Amino acid sequence: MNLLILVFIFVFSFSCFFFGKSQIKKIAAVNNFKTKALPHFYGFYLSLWCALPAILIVFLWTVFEPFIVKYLIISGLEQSSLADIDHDRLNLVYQKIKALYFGTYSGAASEQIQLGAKQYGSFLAMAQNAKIVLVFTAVIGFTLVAYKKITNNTHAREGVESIFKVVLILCSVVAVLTTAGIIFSLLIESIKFFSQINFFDFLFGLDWSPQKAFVRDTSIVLTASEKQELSNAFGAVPLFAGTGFIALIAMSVAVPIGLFSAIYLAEYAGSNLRKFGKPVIEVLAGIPTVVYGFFAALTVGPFIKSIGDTLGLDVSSESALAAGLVMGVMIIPFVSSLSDDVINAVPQSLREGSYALGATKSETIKQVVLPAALPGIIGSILLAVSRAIGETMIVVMAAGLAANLTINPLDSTTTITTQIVMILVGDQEFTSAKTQAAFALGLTLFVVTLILNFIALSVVNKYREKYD
Amino acid sequence: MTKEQRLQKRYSAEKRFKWYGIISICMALLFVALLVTKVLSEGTSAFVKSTIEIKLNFDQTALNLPEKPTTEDLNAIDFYSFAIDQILKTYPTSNRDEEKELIKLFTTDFEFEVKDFFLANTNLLNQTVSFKITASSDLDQLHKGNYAKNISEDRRKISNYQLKIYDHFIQNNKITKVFNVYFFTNGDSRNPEIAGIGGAMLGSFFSILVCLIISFPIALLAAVYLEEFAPKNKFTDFIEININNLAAVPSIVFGLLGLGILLNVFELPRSTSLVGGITLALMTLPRIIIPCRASLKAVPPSIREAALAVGASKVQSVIHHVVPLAMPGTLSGTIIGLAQALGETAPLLLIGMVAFVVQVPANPLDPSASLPIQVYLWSESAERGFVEKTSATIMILLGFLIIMNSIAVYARQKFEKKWI
Amino acid sequence: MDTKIKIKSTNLNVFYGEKQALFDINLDINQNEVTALIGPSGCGKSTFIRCINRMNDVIDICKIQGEIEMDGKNIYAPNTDVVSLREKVGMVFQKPNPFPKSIYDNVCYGPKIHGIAETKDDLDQIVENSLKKAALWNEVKDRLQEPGTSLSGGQQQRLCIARAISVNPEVILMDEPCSALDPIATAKIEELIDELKTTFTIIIVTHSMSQAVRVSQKTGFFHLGKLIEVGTTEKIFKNPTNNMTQDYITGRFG
Repeated sequence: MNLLILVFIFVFSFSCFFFGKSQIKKIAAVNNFKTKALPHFYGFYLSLWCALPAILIVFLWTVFEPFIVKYLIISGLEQSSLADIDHDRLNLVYQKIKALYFGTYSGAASEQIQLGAKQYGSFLAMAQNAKIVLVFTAVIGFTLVAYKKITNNTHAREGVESIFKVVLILCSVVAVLTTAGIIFSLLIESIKFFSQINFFDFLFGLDWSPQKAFVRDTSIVLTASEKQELSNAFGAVPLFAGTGFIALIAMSVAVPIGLFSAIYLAEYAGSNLRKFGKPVIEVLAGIPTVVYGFFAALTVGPFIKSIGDTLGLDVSSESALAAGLVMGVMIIPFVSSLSDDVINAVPQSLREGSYALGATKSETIKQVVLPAALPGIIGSILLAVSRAIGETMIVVMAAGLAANLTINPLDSTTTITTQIVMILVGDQEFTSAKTQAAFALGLTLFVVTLILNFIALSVVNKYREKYD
Repeated sequence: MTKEQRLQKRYSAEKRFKWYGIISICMALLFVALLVTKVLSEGTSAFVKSTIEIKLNFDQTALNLPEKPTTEDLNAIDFYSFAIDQILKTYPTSNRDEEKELIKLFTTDFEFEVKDFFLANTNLLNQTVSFKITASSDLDQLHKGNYAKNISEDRRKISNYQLKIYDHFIQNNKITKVFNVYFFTNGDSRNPEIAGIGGAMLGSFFSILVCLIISFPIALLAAVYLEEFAPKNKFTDFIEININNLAAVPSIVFGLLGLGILLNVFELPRSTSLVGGITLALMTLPRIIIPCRASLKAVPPSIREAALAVGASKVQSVIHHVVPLAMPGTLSGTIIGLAQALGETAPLLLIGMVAFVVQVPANPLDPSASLPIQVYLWSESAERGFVEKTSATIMILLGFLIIMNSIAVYARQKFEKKWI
Repeated sequence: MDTKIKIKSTNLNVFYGEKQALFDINLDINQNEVTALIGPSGCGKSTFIRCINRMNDVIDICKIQGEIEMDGKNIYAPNTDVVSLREKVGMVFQKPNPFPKSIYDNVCYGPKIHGIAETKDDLDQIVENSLKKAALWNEVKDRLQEPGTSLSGGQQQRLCIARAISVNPEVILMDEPCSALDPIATAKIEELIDELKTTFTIIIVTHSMSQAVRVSQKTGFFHLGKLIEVGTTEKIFKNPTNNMTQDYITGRFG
């Protein structure tokens, strides 16, 4: 139906373009004046005013219609005999009504649900009629107003351009809305989570066993001790430790290799090797993380295990080491390409000053170039750390699920991202504390990476300003 | 320490330092080489499959057909019994157990293969033809040499009797490898021999299409605003910082956004490439805006001034001159952003695109997987037959990424003007 | 005073890729004298002095033919150690380029890498002496730990000179050392050069003819990669033999 309406709007607006264009010519000829803008701007003006408000109405209507219908149905239910049941149950009834209406309901429907479905259908029909009427009115109304303006020889180009600018501003606000959406979705669930689980128990608790939250029926009121027990099941320290530990392993691979590659490419390599080497290292950044995960889980993990077995060590098949090593390789290009940029930005005159004193190349690099490039390099490392912390697929596939608080790299550990995936993949009841825990973890992850990125970006930008 | 000794030491330090660099680069290269070798050596065999030749005698009475069979009659044929019958006739067995083991060497879908073949060639009625049926995954792996035969019988999936039949196939040249069409056309399946990436490819295609339709226009217009029209004020700074930080937010957070807002608030259908595409678009948006801005910035101010000097408005100078000149850069930035989106897995896991989907999706509103998700699903699966498929899927995925990135590089080099 | 030839360049040709930058340069530099090289921009005078401490080695496409002898030894001989050569031939650049380190570290960098100083006290002594010789000590002695970049342009350049003399070189090359400085700072540096020549052999590239007159004993005039004329400063500026030199010093071109 929306499609049909949109097609109508487009056709109408398209014809408005030609109508406006020819009309202004006619009016100008009859009244013998010069138009303030070229005729086709009048066409644009008319067609934009005809289409944009109507499209906006269709969009908003489509977005908000389900909420309104749901509200109507549920308030109807509340007034009927079901007034005493809680919100979650009402929701369930509503889902059943919807399912029955769309013919996906299985089993026998109660009378109440059948009634609801009928009502639902009539609401939908009503909404559709209202929408069509509203859109028609908008199209006709705005077109008439715009036409009136045209006949008064308004400055059509300026009109069109200001509409254009409004569209531009709306587009650049989308990024802000995305951030707002992220914060909103994370906060809503996190607040629910922290209303059940003590914030400090989450942040400093040493035991992570969210499956305990499943044992309980949400409708039962918990005693104080049970509440505490539930709260104790969500101690996120093992996850933070695991995330930090794997990121540490990754950084200890990525920083030396990335930094030395960058130094070699920037200072030693000839232009040919540079042209070849830089893209090859950047290929590492283009490989999807799921491929790294595959490699970590099926090649590196078993390899480390077999080495450990021959040495008589007890190696878990999903070790922190395997995940960390492969993640380190993934991060190499993030360290190397930014470091390469900042090393190149160090002025040549500093190098010459050092060479002229009789310093060798490596002495120059170690004592002059790197100290000068240090802020930029630190920025690039911080960005890489934020990458490592937020990386998901490698750890999901290779790091394990058990929340061990360990510093043995051969043991399996789990991370924030792994737990988010493990909790949310598959069908979940959305009210469970376990599901909300995933959002709380996501919020932690978002805040930490945001801080890291913010610091890194401002450090790098300051550095760029210094040498630009 | 004499001066010479000291100098000697300094030079060896220099050499060591240089070698650290060489070793680092070699390690990075080595990893790429290892990965490519593993994927290629494991994956190539997935593009062929083993088939077993059997004789099919489409005898009218055996098929239980009347003189002039109608379409209904044809559809009513019990192909299962017919196919088993034909297999047993081609390869006689001596008892029920052997019979079962023989049948197990064929794909579980053999009746449909026979059915499709016959319904497409009804003129073969009352004739005998030889027909190649897909082998079961275990036999396929055995034939490709991925199967250890030398362990005791109870530890392998292929029995001694089945090995004997296999030797018989080999001796009589009955088992052949053909190009595996299923791999490209089928959806996922529990049986490796008929599982394919057709569904995943379409799922990826739909989500990238949705992603492109949403992210490219918005990103381009946002970049135009920020680079050409935005006044220098706090709000513009805020948008800029926002975009830069958003580009570095972990992808899984976008998955949470998709789950929390698109699925739970707007109640869009779960597991579909539409939701996947929107989620990816939100993630890709800042990553496209940044290169778009860079290429708009690279257009020299003289172009704008020239347009303004002949009386064009600011909007006209931008639309007519700046944006077209920046197009190669914006396009290549967009393609690189889309390539990243194509390889993205984590956000799609959270919005349920990880479901087991047999049906090949017909539109973005059907539940589907995507290529990276398929890699994830198959790499978790224990069956031997999925190992080569995982690697082959990676090959296809990397192939698409290489093509996209090459186009981006080509577009930039070929069409980008060098401003002096 | 009898003069000894410190550096002798014979048939020196320098190429940047296809392009030849210097043509058959034959020039003798006297010990404990200031030799000025003048000429219009791009004439090869900077290229020439960068050959003397082999700074051109850093540039990939640069090729050098001919010989430069220092104390009778060819510095382009295969067994020459570039590091030791540069220890003996210091350089001061067009724009002051102090390292982003403290003033103290800027000066002690050279002695440290060459292992000249054994103890901390020796190092302190070298730093103090070098800064004193560069006429900077009184201005910075109370803030040796501040970054070198915090100094003014003239001070930075004197810091670079202090850095150059800290390793006790025999020759100091100066590539337009005053071009980025104001007149007062320039005067200070010129004064300094005059004092330094008692200890070091100095070659200075300059755009300013008056500066050449003020500081140098010998002057060479370069044009389009060729050494047109060389002689005592007095002779070059009062009575040049070549017309081109005449035109240049009277300001008719360049």
